Amino acid sequence: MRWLSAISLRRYHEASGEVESVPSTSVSPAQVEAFENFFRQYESRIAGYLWRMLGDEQAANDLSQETFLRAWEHFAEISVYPSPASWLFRVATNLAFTHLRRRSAPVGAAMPLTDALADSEDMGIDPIAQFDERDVVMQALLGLPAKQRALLVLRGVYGLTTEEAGRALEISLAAARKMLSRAHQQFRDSYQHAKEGK
Amino acid sequence: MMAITCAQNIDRTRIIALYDNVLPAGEVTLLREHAESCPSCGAYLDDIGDTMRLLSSHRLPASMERQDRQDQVWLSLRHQIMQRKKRSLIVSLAQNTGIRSLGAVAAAVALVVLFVQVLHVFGTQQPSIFSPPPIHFASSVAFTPFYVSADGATILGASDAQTASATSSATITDFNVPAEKAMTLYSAPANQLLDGEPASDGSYLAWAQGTPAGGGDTASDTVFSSLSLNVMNLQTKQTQTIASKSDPNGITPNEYGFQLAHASLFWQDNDTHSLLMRDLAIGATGPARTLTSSFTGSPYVFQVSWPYIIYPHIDGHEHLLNVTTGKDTALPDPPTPFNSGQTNLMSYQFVGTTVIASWLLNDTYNKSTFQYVSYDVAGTTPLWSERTTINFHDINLNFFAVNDRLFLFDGLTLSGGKGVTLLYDRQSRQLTTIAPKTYADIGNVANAYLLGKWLVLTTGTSPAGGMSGALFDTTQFRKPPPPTPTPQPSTPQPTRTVLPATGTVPPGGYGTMIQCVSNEQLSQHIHANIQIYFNGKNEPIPAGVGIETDNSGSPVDFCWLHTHQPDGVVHIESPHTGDKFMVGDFLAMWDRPEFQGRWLPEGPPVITSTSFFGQPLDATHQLTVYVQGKIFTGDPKTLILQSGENIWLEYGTPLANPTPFDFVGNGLSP
Repeated sequence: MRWLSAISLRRYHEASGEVESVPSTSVSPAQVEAFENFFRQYESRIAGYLWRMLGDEQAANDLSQETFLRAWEHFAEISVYPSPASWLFRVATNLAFTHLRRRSAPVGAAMPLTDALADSEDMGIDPIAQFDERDVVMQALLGLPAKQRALLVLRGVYGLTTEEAGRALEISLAAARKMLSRAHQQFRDSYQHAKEGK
Repeated sequence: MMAITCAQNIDRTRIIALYDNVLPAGEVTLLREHAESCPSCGAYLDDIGDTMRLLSSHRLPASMERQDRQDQVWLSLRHQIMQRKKRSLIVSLAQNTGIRSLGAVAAAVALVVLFVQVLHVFGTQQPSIFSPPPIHFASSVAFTPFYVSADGATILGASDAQTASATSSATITDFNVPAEKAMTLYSAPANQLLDGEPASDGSYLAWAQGTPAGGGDTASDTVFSSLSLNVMNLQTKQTQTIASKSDPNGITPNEYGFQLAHASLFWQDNDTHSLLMRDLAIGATGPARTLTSSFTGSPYVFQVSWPYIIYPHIDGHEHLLNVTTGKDTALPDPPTPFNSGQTNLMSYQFVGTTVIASWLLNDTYNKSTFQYVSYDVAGTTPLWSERTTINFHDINLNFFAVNDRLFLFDGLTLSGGKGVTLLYDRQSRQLTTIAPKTYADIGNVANAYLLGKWLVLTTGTSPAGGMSGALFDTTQFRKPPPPTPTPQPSTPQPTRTVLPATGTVPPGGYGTMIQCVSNEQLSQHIHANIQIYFNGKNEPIPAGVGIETDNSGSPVDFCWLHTHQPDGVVHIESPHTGDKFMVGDFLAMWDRPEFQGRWLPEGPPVITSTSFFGQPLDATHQLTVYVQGKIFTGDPKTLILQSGENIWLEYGTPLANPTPFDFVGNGLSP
């Protein structure tokens, strides 16, 4: 029978990993619960930061997950840091830079207008005004070099001090101030340019 | 201090510092005064403020702010956490056995390509391989199994029962092997395609069905006017359509190839060259995620072994895609086909964390040579490569790996047109026929399926509409278990010869040597575990003992001894290697007023000769102390907290017999 054959063909191509079983190890529910609370507390900020860095929702979600996967591996230490967010932003920054280096496509395909409008309408927001402003800012951000973008977003959007933002980029305070100055200027220029182009 | 003028060419970074409010008061005054009188600097300061305000009000798209987005990330992350635990163990075990040094293996593989000549007479039986004997089953209906339960008693299968009038109906059937009875889970309208697969946890069943374009039955029609992909919640028996399409010009029946893995449904959409995924753990109505739009659209050739997918890319190569990271890697191509103009690639298959590529290297009369190469999913460097020559022609209809030791060939021989299934053992270099000849004598190729641990052999469809077959438990073919992993804490550490170690009361009293500072001290970072029992009931030491917090609950100071989780682990983090602290030190620190909120309900953390955490110690209420499972009769406060040590303080009876804390398994160095 036609469809039986189809199933058979597919099955021939399958191999099960279950045969190669490995001993299981346990993760205590309390650990996972504590980590989930930690995740819920910080994830939206990290995902938002990555979205602003990459202009790509899927990549932002993937790298956010990767950031927290690394956080899990060091959870005992970072959960009691005075500012775990700094650690998370540093890891997310490194992942974003790596992602941008590997990505062949140009940065910053903004979300299609129709999708954005649908999104905004769902949320009861004036879609045109929201999209315009968000898109203009996003275009200006994505026009910046990655490090400048990271610095500006960490400082301007997430309220890190220039020193903290610089630490996330592993640069000195003096270098961070210089870079922030340049990023600010370039952002203003790009923003005006994008605004005029709208 | 002189007034600042623009002629001094103000460094913009000073304006940034001014905005950051980190300059000395005097300089702030001067700069602000200057900014008020200097249009350029004033505008710059205003600009900075405007930029920051603009950015701080920058909204995310609504899709990024949705709660279900975060839920999805969390679910996937949670899966990853569990998987990573497993993978790290695999790596650890593999390293212990010395087989995973990629560089060494790559070099070795270049030298050690095995040429195995297996000369084995077709039909020779080696029944000793199958012990215990297989489970045989028979059914009054022909069905294709796609699921076998762990005990081999339940088989889910798709059935297509035909009558003499050539009408057909298709059902998904739950078949009970011992009773040889089938229960219909789902029955499609007549003449519709079916293909089903249950989730590994048994929560969902997925299937595709369609309407034959020509109005005939599924046996004769090859195109369909409509097709849908559906799921059934096996608990509630509710069904839902995940995707559907219709086209009067016809749709191929394989339009929706799919697999269920890791509580997610993966499927292909050939129109958009896409592979998609939906996490069923959060409900079948969740959003679909496009994994790639570079799928060739070939039927049923992508494979999932979470978090990896192998699929044919439109660039003509097989690709390995990491679902969680998005990393997409082209797998190496096989060598030039021996038969010009044809492909010789048979399959890429997952076996645990490796991928085995297999292809037909050469095929002459009465001799077929196969080549296999195994790759770790993390890369494309071969782990091993091997050839096998089998003295039968055209036996290579299908190949799959049971594991990386046992390979299965299934197909039709040219000599007599008989079906045969052969098992090849790489270790012993033995080839064994495992499909009874009588199966193939029916005239159809004996089908072989690897479902979980079960190898299923069936006859296909007999003229009488019946079917028989056998299940083989493949666990008997498993490789020898790897060496036992790292010793658990219950095993005394090699460097420790005397247990337990005790100290004396410090001059200032217990706890007086412990400081609490803003940063964790990591010159010495070890862990011990203390479990406290009252009349056999465990009272966990709360999290946060030794961690001072502010009003918002954020940590402010870390004492050198502290707890992070209510698991009894005491973190000993002090500025000097070799600092020694005793149980009495920990209790004294815990007894401080700032940690009163973390005392046990029985009473303050104080042990005297007459009381234990506020409970009386007397002839009928005694304290029993265990150190590494051995009774300690001294003052428990004098016990030195040592790395990887388990201390159990048991008040009253019954005495508990707890399991030593698994430091390694919990990611802590003992």
